[in-house]
Amino acid sequence: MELVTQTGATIKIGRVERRALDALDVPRPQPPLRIVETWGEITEQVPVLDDVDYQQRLGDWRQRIFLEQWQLIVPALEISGIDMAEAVALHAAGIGDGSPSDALHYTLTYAEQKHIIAAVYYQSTVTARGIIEAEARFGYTWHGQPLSSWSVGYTPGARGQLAADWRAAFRSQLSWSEFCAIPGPEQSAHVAFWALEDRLAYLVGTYGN
Amino acid sequence: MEIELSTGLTLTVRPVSQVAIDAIIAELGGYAEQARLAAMPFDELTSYIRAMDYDERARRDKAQLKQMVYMFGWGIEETPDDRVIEMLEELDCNSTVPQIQRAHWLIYVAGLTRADKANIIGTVMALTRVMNQ
Repeated sequence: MELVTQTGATIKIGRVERRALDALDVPRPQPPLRIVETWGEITEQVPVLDDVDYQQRLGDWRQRIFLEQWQLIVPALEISGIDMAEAVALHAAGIGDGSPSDALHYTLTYAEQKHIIAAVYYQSTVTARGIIEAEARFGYTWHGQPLSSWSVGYTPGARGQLAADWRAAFRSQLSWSEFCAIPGPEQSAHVAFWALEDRLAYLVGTYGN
Repeated sequence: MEIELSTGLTLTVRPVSQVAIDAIIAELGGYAEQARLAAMPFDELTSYIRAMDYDERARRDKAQLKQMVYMFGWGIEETPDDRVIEMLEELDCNSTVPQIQRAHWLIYVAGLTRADKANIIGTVMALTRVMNQ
């Protein structure tokens, strides 16, 4: 996969170790709580989401996540045709290390860099984009409609993406190491396949007879 | 966009990289920390800074200088004349990078007050934020 920036630099997108992405953990700041009286003497703690200090800490947290993600994915980038003058000048001012990845980091906008981060994630792990693409290719339908357009009455229990990925790996008879070693779109396809199978089983079980 | 400073100097301001601004602010402790310090009364702030250990104070001073060099060097269009460059060389600020020459001119030679410097930094940050929205 290759991306070309507006300035003509070419970025070849590679993969990073999936487990490094899973290990990224920056605790999200919590909003302050306000005690409100709901009924009689019963009180309830309500988060104050518009607290100015909380909003600033949230902004700092988003920026830190972005920086950590960028540092994680940089080894997966092969950059060519980039103008290094800006990175060299910034390095002289004590900003960055003057590397090609820094030249990208300080000249591209947040949106462009997030696009690059998303592309490396797509190549490395299970992503929403990968799941949607796999679902479309599998072409499962129920009464002529795409399976994903049917609502299914799952129980209210919820699981995280990592749990879904573990289950897909287990059902595909792959060890977790083997699952992590395959390309991101294939990982997504395993997850999409088992999710569709489950959905189909539910629809057949409920409406099949 | 032009700003006029207390010394009579008029400078043209331009937007810079939001990513670089945020990286420098992160070195200064983040936006939340900056807002907290800005709201502190002056005597409380000086006590707070005095209570920092030397490494922490050195890190903050370095980040503040970096902020000024970046904002002045990249956020201003005017360039210093040859006489100023000669003066900078005499002061051992003999960088050949035009942005750094510009920053050194505004920091060391142009005689700007703290309020002028804060005005430039604030204007460049605001302009960059507006351009990135």
